[in-house]
Amino acid sequence: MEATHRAPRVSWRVAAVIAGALAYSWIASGLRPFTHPEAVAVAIPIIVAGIATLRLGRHARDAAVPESRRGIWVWRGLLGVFLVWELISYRSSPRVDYPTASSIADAIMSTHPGRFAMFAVWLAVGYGMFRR
Amino acid sequence: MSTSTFSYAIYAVIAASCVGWAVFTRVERARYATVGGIVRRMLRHPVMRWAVWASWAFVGWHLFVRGRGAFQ
Repeated sequence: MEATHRAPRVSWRVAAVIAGALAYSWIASGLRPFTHPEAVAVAIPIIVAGIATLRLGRHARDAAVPESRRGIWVWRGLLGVFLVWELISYRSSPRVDYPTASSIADAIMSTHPGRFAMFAVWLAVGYGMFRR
Repeated sequence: MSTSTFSYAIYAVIAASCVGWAVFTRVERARYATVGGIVRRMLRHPVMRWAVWASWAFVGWHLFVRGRGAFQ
């Protein structure tokens, strides 16, 4: 009798969603800021995530699973250090000497591939948070 | 060391610390709070859920609609 173990395969649905998200990211990242098409391209995922957030509220009580709180202070500390440094940089000048997270992101997004990568990461983070 | 190099180094240290701690908590997820666990906890709270959504929406709008970094 042969073993029937099969390696887990990515379903066509998942592959199609990833391909669609990447294509959407490429198109959206090709649009220019301060234009209506770019506003619409960013607003669509935001609205979809808003609807998902509404639905999360209905299922939240069922999904309550106890999780560890240990080490949360480390995350708070890292967030605090980041916010303090961001504020110091924001209040200082010139920007070339005191870059903020936004100005670093702007430098990365000065090319289409960089802007595409940032958009895809933003979309993936949103999907990861609101898919439940 | 120039001021800009120092500034970038601070961001690099913060980013490396976040990645390092995220990997550590992922490996030791039975004992420590992971990023995913913290987000799940926040999403269970009715107000925090919308705060998370608003923060994510703000980042996207700020970077892509109002950002100045678009290629020319």
